[in-house]
Amino acid sequence: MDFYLGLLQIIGVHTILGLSAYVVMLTGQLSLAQAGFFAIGAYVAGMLTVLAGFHIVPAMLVGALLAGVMAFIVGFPALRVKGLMLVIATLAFGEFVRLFFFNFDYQISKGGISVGPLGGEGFRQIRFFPENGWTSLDVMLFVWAVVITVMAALWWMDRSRAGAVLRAVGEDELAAQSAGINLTVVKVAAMTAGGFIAGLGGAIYAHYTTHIEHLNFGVILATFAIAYPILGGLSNVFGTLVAVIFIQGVLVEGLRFMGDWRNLLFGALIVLAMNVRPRGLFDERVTALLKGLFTGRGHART
Amino acid sequence: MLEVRGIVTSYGKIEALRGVDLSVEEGRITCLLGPNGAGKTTLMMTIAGILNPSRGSIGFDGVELVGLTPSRVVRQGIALVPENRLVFPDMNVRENLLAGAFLRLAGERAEVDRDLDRMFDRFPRLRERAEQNAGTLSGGEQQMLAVARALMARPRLLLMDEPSLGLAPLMVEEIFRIIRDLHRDGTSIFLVEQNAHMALQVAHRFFLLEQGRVTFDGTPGELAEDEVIQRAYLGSRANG
Repeated sequence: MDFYLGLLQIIGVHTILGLSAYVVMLTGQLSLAQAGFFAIGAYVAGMLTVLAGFHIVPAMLVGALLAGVMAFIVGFPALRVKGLMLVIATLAFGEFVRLFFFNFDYQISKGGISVGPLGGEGFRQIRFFPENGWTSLDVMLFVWAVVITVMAALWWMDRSRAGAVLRAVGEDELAAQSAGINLTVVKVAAMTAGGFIAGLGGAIYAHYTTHIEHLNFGVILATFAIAYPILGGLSNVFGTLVAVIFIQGVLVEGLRFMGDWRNLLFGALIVLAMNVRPRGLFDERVTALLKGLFTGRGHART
Repeated sequence: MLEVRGIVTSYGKIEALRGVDLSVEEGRITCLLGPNGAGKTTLMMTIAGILNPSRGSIGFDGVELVGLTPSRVVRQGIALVPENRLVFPDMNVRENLLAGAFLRLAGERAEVDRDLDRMFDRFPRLRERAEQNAGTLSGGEQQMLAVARALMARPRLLLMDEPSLGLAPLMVEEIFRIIRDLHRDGTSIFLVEQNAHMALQVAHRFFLLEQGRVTFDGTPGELAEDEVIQRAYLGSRANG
């Protein structure tokens, strides 16, 4: 049972991470900095609960806010470049954050034990959940409460004018500009929102694993972050969720019995999925089909 | 209303505009004619702030536009309907229009909704297709959408870059009817057009742009009488 609760926690946190990349991707930008923002949220929130005795919720919000502020600052110079150049720039930032935490020591003595981040050895004993008697089920429910809140917020945003503006920039910058859209404002806002959301995810991650180190936040995690919305499609937030379930639930866990063949098959299945569903697992057709099923009328547009 | 003085715009080393002077009067339809590669689109993009000129000035009711971002130019009251329409193909018609109201996001929800309704009244075809993706519209409908999207910013001057490009003759008639309607309702229009015959019927003033310079400036009457232009742009049907 705990295995499945743990899996649900992983899926939840990765969904938040994927959604952070989704927001940025709506404006047509590919950011490999999401793992960096995720790391900032993880370390800051962990330090607040462990060193300062914060409750998880305010610690999480502060961590996310700081990640958002960093994203805002990074957004201005980074979004002056496009496409591949942006990928490199954000990748560099992600590595910068990772290496910062590799070198970052801040320990205090608590009840005779030193606690806090310790460079390459990582940050152990982030024990807010066990210390406060949260069971795996409680943690899982908490994770999903946050996932649902983030998804609802993005769903609403997508349906409002803000969503139209983000997508407009993603579809055609020239047309968006001539419609009066301020590209810098929109892109930096999306980057900031993405940083905030990634920070939330990192904060939760730090607390359910209880131990974080710089290696958790490398290029692999950054790649996963953008793989989810790419694989899931940008039609709506559910695409990212479906992609996370597909990758984390089916590919990573479901293929464990394959042993060493798993990683090979993993890559092959992603390539296959992208070929069969080039516009994402959860593309417009699936959306229309589901809409038809739920409203009980009409057929899917094809 | 709009005063363009000595504008030079280059792509790298190549000067596409080599000192353009022209003016657009309020309440008029002004038309820019010229062969391919003359710099018409470059001029439109320069006025809209998308391209930065290396020299010259553009005054709009006394405000200098050179150096402003495209977003600020729209805020001054100039909206561009870009060449080839450039609607957002994967967004539906309603979302396309809302994107055009970017500058009015805060606190104007009711008014934006009212404007949206007015656009749908003006372009009933768009109302029918409000929830349809813009990429699935016909060329003419996309052009209407591009015009409506520009109007959502409530411009005083509308720049239109070849609105009739690639449209069926009936649709071209329709677009020009819309141009006349907009003008009657008080919008000043600066139009790039290759279809000189249609332009002659609506525009009050013409400029001819050739190789980055204005080489003719006059009324429709003067344009129709100019022999060189007759041969180059109006063909043998000039008086027919």
